Amino acid sequence: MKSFQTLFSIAILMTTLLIVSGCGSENDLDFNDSLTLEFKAVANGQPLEFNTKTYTTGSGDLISIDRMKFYLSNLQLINSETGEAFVEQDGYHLISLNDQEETYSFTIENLRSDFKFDKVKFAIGVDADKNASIDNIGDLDPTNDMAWNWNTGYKFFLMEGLFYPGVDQENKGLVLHIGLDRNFKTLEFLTDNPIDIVGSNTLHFTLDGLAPFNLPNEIDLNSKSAFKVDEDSDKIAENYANDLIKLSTIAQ
Amino acid sequence: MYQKQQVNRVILQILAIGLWLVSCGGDNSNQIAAPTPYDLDVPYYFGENHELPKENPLTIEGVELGRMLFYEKKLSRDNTISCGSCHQQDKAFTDGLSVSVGIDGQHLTKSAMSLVNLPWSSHFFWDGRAESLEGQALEPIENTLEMDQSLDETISKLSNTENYPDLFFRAFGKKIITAENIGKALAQFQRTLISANSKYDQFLTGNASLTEQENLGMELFFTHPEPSSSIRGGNCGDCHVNILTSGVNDNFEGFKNNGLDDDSGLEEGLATVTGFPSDKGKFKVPSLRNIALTAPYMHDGRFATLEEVLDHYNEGIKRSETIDPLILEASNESIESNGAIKLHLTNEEKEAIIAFLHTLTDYSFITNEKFSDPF
Repeated sequence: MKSFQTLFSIAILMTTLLIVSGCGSENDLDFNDSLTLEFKAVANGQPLEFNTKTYTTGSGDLISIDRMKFYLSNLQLINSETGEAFVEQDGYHLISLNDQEETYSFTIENLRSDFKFDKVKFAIGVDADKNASIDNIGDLDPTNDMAWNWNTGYKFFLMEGLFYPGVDQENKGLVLHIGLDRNFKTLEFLTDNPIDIVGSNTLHFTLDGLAPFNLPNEIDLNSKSAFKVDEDSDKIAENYANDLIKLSTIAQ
Repeated sequence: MYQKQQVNRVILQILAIGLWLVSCGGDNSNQIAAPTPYDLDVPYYFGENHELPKENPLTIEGVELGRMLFYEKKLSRDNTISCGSCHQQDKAFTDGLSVSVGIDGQHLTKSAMSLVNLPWSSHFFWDGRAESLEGQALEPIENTLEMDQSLDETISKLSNTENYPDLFFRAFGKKIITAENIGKALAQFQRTLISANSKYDQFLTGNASLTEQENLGMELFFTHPEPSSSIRGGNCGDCHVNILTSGVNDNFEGFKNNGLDDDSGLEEGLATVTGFPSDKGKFKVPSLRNIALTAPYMHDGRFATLEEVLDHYNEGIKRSETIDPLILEASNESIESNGAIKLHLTNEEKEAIIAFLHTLTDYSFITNEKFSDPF
């Protein structure tokens, strides 16, 4: 039965591909466009230098950052005029940035070429349904270092680095492991004009390494520099929902 | 049901025609029986983050050849050493020595790594200098401290045997032996070394239960301590991640400085590969599968027992520039500023973690005849 279903879906897929690859009538739709979402780490408006460079947070604490990761999920591209929306199914992307990977991108294929959108919506985190599941969907993988434990869900946002408390004091680990359903945050980005995808386009996003410490909740690292599952961690999540990610440019 | 079968047959026919269309135009002039695909039996809960390279697919013939080569002493200059000399099955493919001993009794500088669940790993050797297993496999043959034999000499020796040209023909379709195919065969065999039948695996699949002590050890193993929330942890799972207990398989993320030495004694480690000073002192996070069988421990074998390893992480961490933040910031008591880095585990907790580590031993792995010396 299972194999029958598989064969059947393969057959449908082949048929669909035949239609999309276009030998039909004049006004059939073209699904050949693609959209790339690219993420780059920044700090103070400049590319973030991992490991080596020290940065000052809003409260004056000196830090360096080794790596940043977050789960991006539930992506939607919306045309607010027509209400039409592209909704990515089962899209769970682990955006990972470090000294080896200064940018991270993924691409959505087979978009309809006459589709325009002016709003991008996605979440930082994994929705409660999938967070409680151990299935491998997209980049969800209980064997990776974003899983808290065998059966307790995922870290949504991870940052690791060092905090330098000052002269005569030893460095401390800077550890942000934020998860839990309550810290699942949906973000929206509006573009000035509706984007008409032609061929392949790229949306460039920046990820501000200092944002988790600044607004609206200024974080004082002198009292603690590791944030995981307590109320202070929720403050970091409010910060990452606020200012972490910005849509910088759109390029064709 | 009849209808379904009919539909099924039609679809199969369509697919067959499709496949024929796709595959036409191939070169059939040297038709041989293609090697038989090897079906790697992998538990679902190991996840999908593993690689079986398309350019070197596992085949029964390739794996069998790889096994022969793995235990083949002709790979060494004086025919005394094979891969299996330092990677012994009964010790989960280690050798029980702090640093391995190569040809003419020469000592190497590193401890032999256990070979296990390798498809979930990349960047081999302790410093990550071999990107693929295929590349890794050839280096010890030429290394003057290990087997000390040029690849040309190796090819010539194997070519002059009765059996190897045929074995290479069956695996790769060519009787001519190449270094590339030696590497491929060795890599294929090593990828089949899957350990997934430990007590821990049986627990994960609901076929065994852990004792109270083992269970406490498992909880501690996978938990990062958080004294402000009274969460106690052994801080192991931050690097030895879930289930596989090896490092993150993404670029060089699975390479860490685990506080063995201070800045003055820090080895280059991963920095020799990346050139980044921030990678100095970082080494590959090994799998802890079968860890109770692979003493002594660490890249240089400095710790004889698991107790010594636990003592290191609990109270022996040395600070350095590149120490992992997750080790620096980990204690079960509120951290004393400027004090030594201590986990503050109790003896009972340390013993529990060690009890959990023993559940990672897979006796069927170390006795599996498919992995044993065929000679």
